[in-house]
Amino acid sequence: MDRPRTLRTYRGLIRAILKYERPSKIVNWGNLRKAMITKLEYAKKQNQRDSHENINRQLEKWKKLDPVSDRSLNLFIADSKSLRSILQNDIKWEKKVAQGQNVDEIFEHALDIIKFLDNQREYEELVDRYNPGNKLTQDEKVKRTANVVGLDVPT
Amino acid sequence: MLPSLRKGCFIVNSIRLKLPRFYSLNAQPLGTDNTIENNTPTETNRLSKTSQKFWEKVSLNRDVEKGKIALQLDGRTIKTPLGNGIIVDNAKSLLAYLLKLEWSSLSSLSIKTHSLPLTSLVARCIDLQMTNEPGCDPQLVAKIGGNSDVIKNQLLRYLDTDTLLVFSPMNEFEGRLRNAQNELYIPIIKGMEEFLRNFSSESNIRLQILDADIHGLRGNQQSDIVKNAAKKYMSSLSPWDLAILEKTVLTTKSFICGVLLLENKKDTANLIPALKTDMDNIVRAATLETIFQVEKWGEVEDTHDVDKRDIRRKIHTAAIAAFKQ
Repeated sequence: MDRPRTLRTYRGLIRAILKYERPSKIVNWGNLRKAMITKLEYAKKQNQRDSHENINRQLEKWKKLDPVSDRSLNLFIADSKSLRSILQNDIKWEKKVAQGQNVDEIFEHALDIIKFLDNQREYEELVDRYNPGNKLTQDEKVKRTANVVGLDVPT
Repeated sequence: MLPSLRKGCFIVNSIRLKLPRFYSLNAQPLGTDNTIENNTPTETNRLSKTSQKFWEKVSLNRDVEKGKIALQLDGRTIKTPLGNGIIVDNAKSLLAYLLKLEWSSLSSLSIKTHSLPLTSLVARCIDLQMTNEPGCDPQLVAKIGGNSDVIKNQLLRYLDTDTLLVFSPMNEFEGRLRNAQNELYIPIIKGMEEFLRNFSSESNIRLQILDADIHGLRGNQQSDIVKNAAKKYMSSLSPWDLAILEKTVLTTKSFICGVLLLENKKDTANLIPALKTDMDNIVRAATLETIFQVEKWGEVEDTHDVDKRDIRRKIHTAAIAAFKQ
């Protein structure tokens, strides 16, 4: 009876989680990309006599990968299995909705989660935007400070 | 000009002398983190000191026998600042999932104290629960900033000048703000008086409001009857719920909003109709004046937009933790 509402809420929940996970996923993929490229280039150097068709192809692929713009990397939430199991076995969402048992509270709770995730994400985005220095490493900060007075940090 | 000015000064001074200065009593700042910084070797402390990601994998460990779920980093249970494990009941599995999501979505360098609102609230809940158990080490009680009586008394002070009990003068915003306040606050105040009656033997519970048109600019204080009823209500709460009440009250600067949030997350069948509301309405009630200010003067960057998200994320965090599956 409340099936459309359930679906809509579930979809909203998944979407909120996806968006929430995105920044950390981008960082993780970036790290993996860097590690893979180093590894493959090292392997190339190790045995220089062989032809490196396979390695070259892989290298090409990793270099082309751009985690920020590649949407295919963010199609699924990281831990969908346990979320589904919780909704089905612990909360018994479907069953309760079918029986009409405190339905409103469950929907409200789902909405709370969605709004929490969205607001938390937006809050962090804003804080980062207004405080761009927060995310820099110490080395980067020193370098930029030196740059302000026209100096370069020796490498 | 000068004599009249002097006269005005005299009037103000004489009023000042006659009014009891109760509002300046015990005026230490509230809402600051009173937890004493400590070097207990816990994950939460390590994170707050280095702000570096030091783990590979976040996981949930479900103990079926005990019916508990533990949040783990690389196979070790995360500890709260006081050294208790972050372990929730099986019945709060969705909360556990969200805690895990929060930790697995962190990336190094960007970890700040505001990155883990849900974990910090749940850690506070757990720490309060543990320090309220009989036979708890008094040192731990001191570390968390006193036992629950101290917290109750501090929260009670918010009822004196509750956001929902302070009304703007009629001449501001052509009376629109005042009308909106009347419409939103008065039913809630009435409902709240009725609600507090359940916790008192007296029948004439009246919340003292602060009306800028009548009372002007001064402090406000509730009667002892109201205070005792509110205290009795807080005593009826579990330490877990008390921590949530505390979070909400500190966020909204309103005791009533805290009660509204908690009661709306319980079984709402017996709730007084005037108190039935949702989280958006609570946020609106707590920020009504800001809403009007923004409407009139425009949104200030790095202030209004950030604050708006801040209060929402905190209220919804509290709502998630208060939910009983």
